[in-house]
Amino acid sequence: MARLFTCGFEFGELIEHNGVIIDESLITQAVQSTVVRSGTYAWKISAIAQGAVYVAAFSQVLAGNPQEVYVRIGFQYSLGVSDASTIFQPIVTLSDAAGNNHLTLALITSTARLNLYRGNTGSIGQTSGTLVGTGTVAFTSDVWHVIEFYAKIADSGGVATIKVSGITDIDFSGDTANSANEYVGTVFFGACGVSAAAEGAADYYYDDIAINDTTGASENTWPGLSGVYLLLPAADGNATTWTRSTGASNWALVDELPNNTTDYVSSSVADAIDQYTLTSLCPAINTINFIEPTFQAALGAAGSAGVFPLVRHSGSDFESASVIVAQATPNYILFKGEPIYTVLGGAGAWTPAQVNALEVGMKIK
Amino acid sequence: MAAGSTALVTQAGLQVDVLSGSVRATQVGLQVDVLSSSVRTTQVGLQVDVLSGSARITQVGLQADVLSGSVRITQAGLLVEGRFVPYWPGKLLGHNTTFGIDDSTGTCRSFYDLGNHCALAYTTEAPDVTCFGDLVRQRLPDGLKNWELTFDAHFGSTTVTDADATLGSVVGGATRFCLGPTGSETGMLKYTACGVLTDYRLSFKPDGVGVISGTMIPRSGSLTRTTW
Repeated sequence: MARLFTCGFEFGELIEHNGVIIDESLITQAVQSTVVRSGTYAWKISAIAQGAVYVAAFSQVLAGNPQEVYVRIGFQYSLGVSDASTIFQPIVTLSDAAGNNHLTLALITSTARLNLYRGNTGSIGQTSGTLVGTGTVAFTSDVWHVIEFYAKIADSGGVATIKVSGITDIDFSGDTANSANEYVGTVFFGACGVSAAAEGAADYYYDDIAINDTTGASENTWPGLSGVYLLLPAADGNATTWTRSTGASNWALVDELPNNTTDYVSSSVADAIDQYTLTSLCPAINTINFIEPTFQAALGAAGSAGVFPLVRHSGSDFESASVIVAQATPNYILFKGEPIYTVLGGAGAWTPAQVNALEVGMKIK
Repeated sequence: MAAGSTALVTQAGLQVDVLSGSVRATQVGLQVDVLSSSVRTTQVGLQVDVLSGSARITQVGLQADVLSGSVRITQAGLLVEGRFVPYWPGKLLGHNTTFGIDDSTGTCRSFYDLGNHCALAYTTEAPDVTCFGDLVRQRLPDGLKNWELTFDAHFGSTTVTDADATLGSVVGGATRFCLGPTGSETGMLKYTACGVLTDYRLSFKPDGVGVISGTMIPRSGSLTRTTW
């Protein structure tokens, strides 16, 4: 599998995960474009609750229940009126498939350092379990930090290593399992509100989330400090055989960010292809880990249909495994093709020039 | 049936031949009602349980790939994960440096196995245009450019294609040099230019190896920075 999950919130909505959204009262969450680490969007939680603990979180269910995972989070916090208060703020929790939290990584705002816990309870691990590691890297408010979290879940021989912006911060060996299920089934990202008025308000920002397992030839280790970007259609590409809902250009119907459903291209013809050239990468990017075609789709009527995500490189079309579109309008769903780590039809990593020359599209199965 | 598909199987039938209490299925038929558009039937099958030579039909199935209505796409894009990786200035050993000069036939002769020093100076003129009243010297940009290549090598064998044979044949004539600071693998940096070998020297002494040296300066055209 290698890369299991990528979420830079670049679609302007919280739609990339496959698990739940926990959005309790007195704490707010939103994908916003004001404070971002890379790309256009990041996720913000405002912990404004007073008097009780509430949670804002989302989860990603991992295929294959890997025993070892690498998780990356771009993280920033902005404290409110009571900076010196001790706020235990969970950032990420690794759970099994039965709801047992193995490990929770939390920020202690009074010390501005990370703590690692085993066996926390609560949906995002907001109730402390056993402290197994204390970080030494000092966090600074209003500054992005990249947290990388390697975990091997095991009663005996478990490992949990935390890096902050590439520097090892916590390195724990021992019992990392809180159940007999020695694997990671679900990863929760989020934060909780504060429980007392004196603790004041705080904002937490998340960006460039990634989860790798240890399989495959690429993205099978630390994800690194990269960011996530979304390139949108900029012009019609090699084939435009789908039907436009309006206008004269196919690409102009599928380039909105966030997505809107008022215009679209459609097709029910087997093998029909629609393709688009793309906006260019940020010029500062010179190292590319992978690319991943995406589209948001629904059916005009109840049913299902297969669609191949397409990437056109150097005059040839390359299909990802087909996806099944089974939701009828207006329930549009985000689909992602498989990560493509190396140059299609060749070898080696993608270059910015190659990516900028790509076309993306879809083909009816 | 493929997950989520919506073709309606409205009739499935068996024509059977009853034999001694067992059932032989001799024909299976499906009538398919398609909601819309096309249906690709990819497999029709029977799951059977063989019992004493007879067959019991326990399941009749249709695996189909259904196109049901139009697919509407409202957004397409390409997610890219990447970063800026600074290229730190590296220290480079010169032991892979390669250097060659075209002989009189235009064939490049490498001195890789004889050379032990090579220096390329790329310079330009900048005429002084300082005037009265100027407090700092003024110079014109874009003056004439110049380059000079100097090299040292061991004196090789006396075959017709060795360094001495090559250099001795091109002194004073137009030739071309190629310099690969990191070697000559495909894609590596290469400096090349058309020049004149104006200075070629040989030196021998009883207690040392014979050495040669030379100097090349431009004939025409510019110094080119390219790749092998």
